[in-house]
Amino acid sequence: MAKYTLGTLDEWAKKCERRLEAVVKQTTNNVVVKHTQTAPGKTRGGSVIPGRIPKDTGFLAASQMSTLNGSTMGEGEDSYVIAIVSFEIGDTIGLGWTAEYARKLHYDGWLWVDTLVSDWNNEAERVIRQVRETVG
Amino acid sequence: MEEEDIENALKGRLGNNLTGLPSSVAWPNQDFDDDPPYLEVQFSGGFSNNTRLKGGGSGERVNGVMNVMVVTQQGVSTGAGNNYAGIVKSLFPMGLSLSITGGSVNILQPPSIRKGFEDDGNLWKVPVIVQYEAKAS
Repeated sequence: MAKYTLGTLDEWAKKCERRLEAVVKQTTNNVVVKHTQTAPGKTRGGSVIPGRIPKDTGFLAASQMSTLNGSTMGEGEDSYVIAIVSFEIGDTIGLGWTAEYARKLHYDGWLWVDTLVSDWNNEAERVIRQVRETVG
Repeated sequence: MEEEDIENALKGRLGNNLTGLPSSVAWPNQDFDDDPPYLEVQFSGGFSNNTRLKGGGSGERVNGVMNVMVVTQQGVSTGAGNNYAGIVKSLFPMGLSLSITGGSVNILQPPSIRKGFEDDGNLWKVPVIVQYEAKAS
């Protein structure tokens, strides 16, 4: 285990910051990938699957919009990647779906946003274990 | 901890405390055909994690979401729906712990009342999101 003295506090602080940033970025990426997967919507013969995004025409999934500190970073199914790449400790990432019917479908049982939130802590714990091994 | 026990604890908390709320509840996977006002319950998540390297025992935790949808008549103001939503929220205060076999179901943050919306032309729906964590003892 590395030993730190007063003279190396800066080094220690930078290492902490690198770890924090890696945890937030990787956790966010993992939960978004996991909980924005699509499943056939009702017009394609599907039924409600909590934690998935219904896909009929694809418009809903494609209406994803990501923000960083309130500024739009990207639009489209994978827009979250741009926000994550630009993220620094202290920033706020926002993720939303702008299709007019997104809200109705979400609360009709698909609940992908709240499902994603409920899984964040679990995923963060998994990522923390990985980061301990990989960030120098 | 069994998933059935977790859901039953949360459903029981709501179903046994319907004072001031609509008596009609649409439970998951049960036939339902009633006029508003009523409550509709949905579950999502249920992700398991274990803080113990060996697994099992008291390290097991399950995180999930219960959505209690308050359904009222559309076009009659938002007051009734919001009032019911407030009562639902008060049933699951932060810090609430419900005992189940082999553990407990805990509410770690206040439930969230989301903005209401119109549905099917004649319904007004107000979601109440309850995030929970079940913990093995």
